[in-house]
Amino acid sequence: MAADDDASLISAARAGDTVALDRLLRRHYDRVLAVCRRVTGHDADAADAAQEALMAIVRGLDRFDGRSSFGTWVYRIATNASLDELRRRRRRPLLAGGQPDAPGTEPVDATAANRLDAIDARSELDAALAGLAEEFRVAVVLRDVGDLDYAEIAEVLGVPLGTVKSRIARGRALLGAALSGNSDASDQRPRSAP
Amino acid sequence: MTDDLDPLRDASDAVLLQASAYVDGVLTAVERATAEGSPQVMALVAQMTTARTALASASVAVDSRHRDGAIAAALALHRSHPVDADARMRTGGGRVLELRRSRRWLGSLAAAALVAVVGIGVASLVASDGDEPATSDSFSIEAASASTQLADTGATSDGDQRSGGVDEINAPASIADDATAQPGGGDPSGALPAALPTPDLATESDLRDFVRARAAGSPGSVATSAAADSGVCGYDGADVIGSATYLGGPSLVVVDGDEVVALDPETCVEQLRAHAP
Repeated sequence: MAADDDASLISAARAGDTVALDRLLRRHYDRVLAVCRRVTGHDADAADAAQEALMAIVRGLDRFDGRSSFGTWVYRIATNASLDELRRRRRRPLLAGGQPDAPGTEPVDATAANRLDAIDARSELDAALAGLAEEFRVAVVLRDVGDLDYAEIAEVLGVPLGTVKSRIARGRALLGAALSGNSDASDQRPRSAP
Repeated sequence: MTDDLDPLRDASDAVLLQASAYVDGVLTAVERATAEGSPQVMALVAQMTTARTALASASVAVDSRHRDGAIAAALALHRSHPVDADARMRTGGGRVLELRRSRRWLGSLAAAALVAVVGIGVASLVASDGDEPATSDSFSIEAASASTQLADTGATSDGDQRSGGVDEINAPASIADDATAQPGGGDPSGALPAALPTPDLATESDLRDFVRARAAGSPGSVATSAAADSGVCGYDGADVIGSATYLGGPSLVVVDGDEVVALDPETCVEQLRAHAP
């Protein structure tokens, strides 16, 4: 039985094994999409960013040298694809409202009451994330969605460890305040450079 | 929530870092005890935990059509740009390029040997050595034609960099980029110019730094490749600042109005954009 770990799939993919590449991409797609969704705040933009990320993974696969884990490398690509999508969105004409996706665009719980609660929770989270400065949002998403450690995030973002800790701390504080109902929390900006 | 219950208000960086570290469970026992003695810190811990829980528990629904479409697009890209995995074993530094060169020379040598064998056979029949290619000639012809062919495909993105950066560690691995990685691929004299560092752009800040470095007129920084003359991705040659890499892949940096843009020279997909420094 062929080995199914990332390293084996990467080697096979580099050798032209499309099946191996397919398996590798499917394995990591969900985490890519999760990062893209939380950074961009839009289902459609997240899907676009995720596709761009997969294509960037393919283009860069033979240059992946294993210094970091493949998952960390994938997160870096997903993060940059998401930020690229945000930049493209800023240059597009604003659609009605320019707000995060409307409620009900994601599958929710079966019962109506739970469905409404789930919709409200997701909308509230999307709005709270959208209120964060990009640098804080990305750091918090990588930590609390991607479950990367500080060093991995520093590598993904190309910033010092201290900067990562600061951004996560501020991002969490602002996000938590927004979710807790402190209405002016999302307007706060760092009192010192992260 | 009233202001006096907002732990974030007037929270110092140190307090925020302490609370965040507490949430991540990275404090020592002494540090944890200190944190637990501060109502402000613990209030922040509670808020941060709320944020973390909300993020971690909010699932992102995967649309299987989008997923399958994205993977199909990536596989199509893979098929259109097959990689020679053997030739790209990373041995470090310029040895990656040496391995590529040796592979190509071996291929050329094998082809030349075959031609020589055939040529000898033909010559013995027609009693003429005019058609018999000497091994070295075939070798050089093969190599020259290969260089020319690859140089054409590779010139759009990396000629300016590669004219000075033949031995770059992070030389992009696409077929097009192999051209300028060949010895003297962009230099008729055959001499290897001094290697230039190839910056790997990851952020807008990297992009601006790259542009500043080029503007400062570092040696060999001026784009002199075919890209500078012919333009690429809809940008005139005069708009081309230079070549770099983006996440390890090829990138071409161009001016776009009052902004600078890093593009994938193969797909023209925008990688980064920033206000010109």
